[in-house]
Amino acid sequence: MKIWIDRYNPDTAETRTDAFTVADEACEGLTVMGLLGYLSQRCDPTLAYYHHSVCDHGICGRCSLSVNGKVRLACITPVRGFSELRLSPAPGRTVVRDLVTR
Amino acid sequence: MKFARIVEADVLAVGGSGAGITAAVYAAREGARAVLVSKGKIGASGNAIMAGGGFGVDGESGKNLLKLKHADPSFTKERLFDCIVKESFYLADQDLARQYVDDGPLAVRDYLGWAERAGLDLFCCPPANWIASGLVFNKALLQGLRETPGIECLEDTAVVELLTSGGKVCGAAGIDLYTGEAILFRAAAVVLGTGGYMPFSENNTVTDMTGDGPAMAYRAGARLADMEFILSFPTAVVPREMKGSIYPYVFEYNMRNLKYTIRDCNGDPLPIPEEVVRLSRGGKLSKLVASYYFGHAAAKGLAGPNGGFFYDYSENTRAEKEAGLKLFYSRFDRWHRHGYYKGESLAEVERMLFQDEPIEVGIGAEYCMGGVEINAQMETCVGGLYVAGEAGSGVFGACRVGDGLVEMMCQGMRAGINAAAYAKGSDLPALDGQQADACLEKLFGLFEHQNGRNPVALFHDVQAACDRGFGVIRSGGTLEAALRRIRELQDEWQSVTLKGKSRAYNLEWIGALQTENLLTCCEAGIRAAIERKESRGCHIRSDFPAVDHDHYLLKYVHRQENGRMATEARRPTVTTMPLPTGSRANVIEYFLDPGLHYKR
Repeated sequence: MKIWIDRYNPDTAETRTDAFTVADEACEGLTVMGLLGYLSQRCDPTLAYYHHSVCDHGICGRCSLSVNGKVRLACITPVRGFSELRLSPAPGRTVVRDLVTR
Repeated sequence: MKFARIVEADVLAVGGSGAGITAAVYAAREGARAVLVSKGKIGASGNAIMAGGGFGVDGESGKNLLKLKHADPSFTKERLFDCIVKESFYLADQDLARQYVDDGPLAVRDYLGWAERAGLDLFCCPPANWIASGLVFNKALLQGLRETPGIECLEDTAVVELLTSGGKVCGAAGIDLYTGEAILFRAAAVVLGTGGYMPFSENNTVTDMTGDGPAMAYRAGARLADMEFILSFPTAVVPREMKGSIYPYVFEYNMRNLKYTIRDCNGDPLPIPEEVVRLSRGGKLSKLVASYYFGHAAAKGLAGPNGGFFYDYSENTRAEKEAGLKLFYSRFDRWHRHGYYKGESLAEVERMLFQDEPIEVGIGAEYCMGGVEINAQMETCVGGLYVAGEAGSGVFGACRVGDGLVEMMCQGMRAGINAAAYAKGSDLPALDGQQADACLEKLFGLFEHQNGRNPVALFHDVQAACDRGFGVIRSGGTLEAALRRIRELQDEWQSVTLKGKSRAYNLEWIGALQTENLLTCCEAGIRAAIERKESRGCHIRSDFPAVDHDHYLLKYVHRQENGRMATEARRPTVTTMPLPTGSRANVIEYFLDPGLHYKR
């Protein structure tokens, strides 16, 4: 699976889009949150996504982001069913870093 | 390197869940200037939001104090106390268990008032229990916070170190996670309500229960106890997107009409005696029972592809399954969308249930009985430092069957009241400038490290070491290997290296600090597990299966001495129930013994 992630560095105000490729088998059974964890562990530990003190089961509501243009909670959005993913910060919010907004 | 700002308080309450919020509320009610600081969002972080069971008090208090119509006063205060001590395998500090029984109903009375004024719908049942979803539970706490004027709240701010002066607490250092700024908190009293530690990769808690409070308290001179006891229970491994959900446990608790057989990967039933099923199923004791039988079967290589075992509901008719789900939804639709548990759709689970497809269920860690050693006033051995809720230890000993939610509220209440009185009667100790500088050096020095391990990978290595050697079923060999690995990882932590150099929302930085805390807690837990050459509660050893009252009715307590961990043993505090003697064949036989007179 091909994944594009919009990045933002608040120190330099630089924005860019990074592309990642993950084997389909590795994506099996993952949510978007799980996929971000996989990328952070295997590909790029500097990736910022909302991941502190979160419930991972759709109740705390803090991990919202844009998945292929639609606002979703990362923790309850299955990767299954997507052929490619474009992940961006949730619109209408202040971007802190990468996918993290406040 | 310096603090970007200073926040002053009489009482600093740390933690955005039940213990931290109640501590702040009761401290403010006592006239203290209270500051509440939370790593996550207040009321939407911490483990209370994950709760699926609910909470309860004794039926006597339910009738007399809380005036509940449905209360069953035959479940008396004494019976609740008796249950907690026996469920703790007699490791409860009985003064703390007594405080839980006595203060629990007082805290719940205030809580029910908040819930009513917040318009919440809790489901009540005898003797004096409430079934509640975690998020709705916290809405009442937030109502309590709103009703209490004068509490300053900081969110998305991690307290990372306690500051002391002359053996007394004088504040704390924190990080604003969004900006990366360091914040200096100055307070004469600090209450830690930060939760426990989860050493394993399979959890049903919020994401980062890394023992921050216990580890910070340990570095500040406090003692840790009962760290070898981690409570686990049946937790989802399928559908894989729901991994970590507690729907299997909530189904068991709420759909008691359904019979099921738990099978291994060969289709054979797990050897759980009928008597044990009758004693435990649908009740909270089933957590220990499931851990025991799942753990032993997994050790024999009988687990499924996701590490779990298979719930076979095929002996129920379709009508029975529909009736079970109807009852479940009649309770939980109050708080969740119909067809959902928490935010997740149950459609796939329902499909498996109706098509008689066995549902693989694993064991996930929920709660740590251990934590900072406290007395019944929630005091630690560090002046001005109080601990409440899961971050503390003492009430539940080796196994918790009672409620974590009541524990956090009644201890938060007591800690808040006492911390306010302490702050009122004490001058704020001067800041130790050298200590503050060393703290900043440590925090920001992490960005200067080079050529070391990445903290994200290091964190996963800690979990892997604990999964392998410190899991549900342990032995001397696996524990010694796990401790060696933890020490290697502690050495590697010294040069942990961040790839990203921005301080703004830097998960590597947060992860590095959390990993240090987790390593400390794991070291304490594994050291105690090695010393405890018996089985007791949630500490189950394959090489020492018996519960040995004659040699191990002891608590292992850890403190820092010359930069290293020192461990000693002490007897639990006894007030009214004498400690037993002799031994029992294993942790299950302990409960089956008619001489125990266990009456939950």
